[in-house]
Amino acid sequence: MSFNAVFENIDMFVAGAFMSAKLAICAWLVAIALALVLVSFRIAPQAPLRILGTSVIEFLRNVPPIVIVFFVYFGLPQTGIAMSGFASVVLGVALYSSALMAETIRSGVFSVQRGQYETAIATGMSYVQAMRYVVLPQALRIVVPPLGTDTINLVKNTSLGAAVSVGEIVGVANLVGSRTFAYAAVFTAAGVVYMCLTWPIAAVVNAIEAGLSRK
Amino acid sequence: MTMFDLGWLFHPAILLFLAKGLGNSILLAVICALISLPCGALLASARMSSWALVRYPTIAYIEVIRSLPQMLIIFTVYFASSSAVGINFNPFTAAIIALSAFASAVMAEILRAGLLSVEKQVLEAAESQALSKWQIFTMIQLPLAWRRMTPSLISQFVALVKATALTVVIGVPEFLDRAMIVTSSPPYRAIPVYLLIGVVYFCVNFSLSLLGRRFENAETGGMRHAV
Repeated sequence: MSFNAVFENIDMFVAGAFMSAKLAICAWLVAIALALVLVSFRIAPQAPLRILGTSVIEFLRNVPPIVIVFFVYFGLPQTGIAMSGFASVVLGVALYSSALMAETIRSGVFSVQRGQYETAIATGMSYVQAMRYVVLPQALRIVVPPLGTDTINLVKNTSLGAAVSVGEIVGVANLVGSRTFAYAAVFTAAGVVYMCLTWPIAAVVNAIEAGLSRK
Repeated sequence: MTMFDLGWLFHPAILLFLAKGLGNSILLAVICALISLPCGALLASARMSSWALVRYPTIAYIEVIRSLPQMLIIFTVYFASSSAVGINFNPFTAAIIALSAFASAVMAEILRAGLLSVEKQVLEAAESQALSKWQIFTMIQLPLAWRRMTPSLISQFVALVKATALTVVIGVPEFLDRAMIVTSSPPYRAIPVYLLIGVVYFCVNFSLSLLGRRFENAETGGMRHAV
């Protein structure tokens, strides 16, 4: 297999890789923010808020992310909200991931036993101290690895940009492939890009995990 | 026509057209599930092989394919197959190969985790009762692992149903593809169509998830009894 097609268009591949990274970073920030909002609804003491949070989470995580992206990209402009391809992928992927992350965060915080919090309060800690020194460190240790998995899935989902021509790496590979017919080479290059994008995330998660369990 | 007049969408011909697409989506998911179960079992046993020459390539396959977006795998199988192996797959076949290749790797990890979850003491107890290795595997390890794996297997099937929507990019006539055709004909309104298929996907996947949760509760309930 010759990689000439990749090397001759290396500028496009680099731009595509950066576009994928940019999509992933923007979508991750939006997803985390939305996830925190969803969690606070999901565990609210008021039943209507809780039902609303649960419904939104269950809906978003059971729909294919590509349907959410298409809804945003093709649907919203018809209501007068203009969406670029970039914004559609960021919003669509973030909406889907936020539901997964919300469930990850919720199950992490809830897995810390209530007794831990109550004991902390009983020893004279304030609410903030109990959270800071007792509950959150334990919750974080449980939440970080699955949150890493959610993040890696989010990075992979940015490939949906290929369906709405954003110019991310899969779209670039497809375009170069259709010109040169060196499909095997261009898609292998795109695969390597995804490994380069997801490997650091796995490394960071492992480092955080190691750091947290040392405490 | 007002915004809320949806007679055009709920026309029997349109609904039948969409239903056929949904049928194709589910057919695709079922075929891939049926392929990925034996393939996953094969990969899992190769992954646990004591022979390094078998184990390491299997680990590499599982880890590499799981780190790739399924969209990329679909494109690769569909477009690169003719140049790499000289076969032109039709979209449906390419979709089956691509989704099964990914699902098998995930399945292998589910099966492996399930088998490894069976406590060593249980297996040692079985061994002390003079059961053969094969008897231990088929009568003790596999049934215990199977019960624990059921929720993961169901959520994997849900993931597969969601992944079938990606095959729209190579023109498989599945649910999303049919929906796009409906939106590109008069009255060209995308929102009601995507909302409708979103709700249908949700109903299919959520009922499967509920089934998975029932197994999960049954399993933990059973465990509590045992203890």
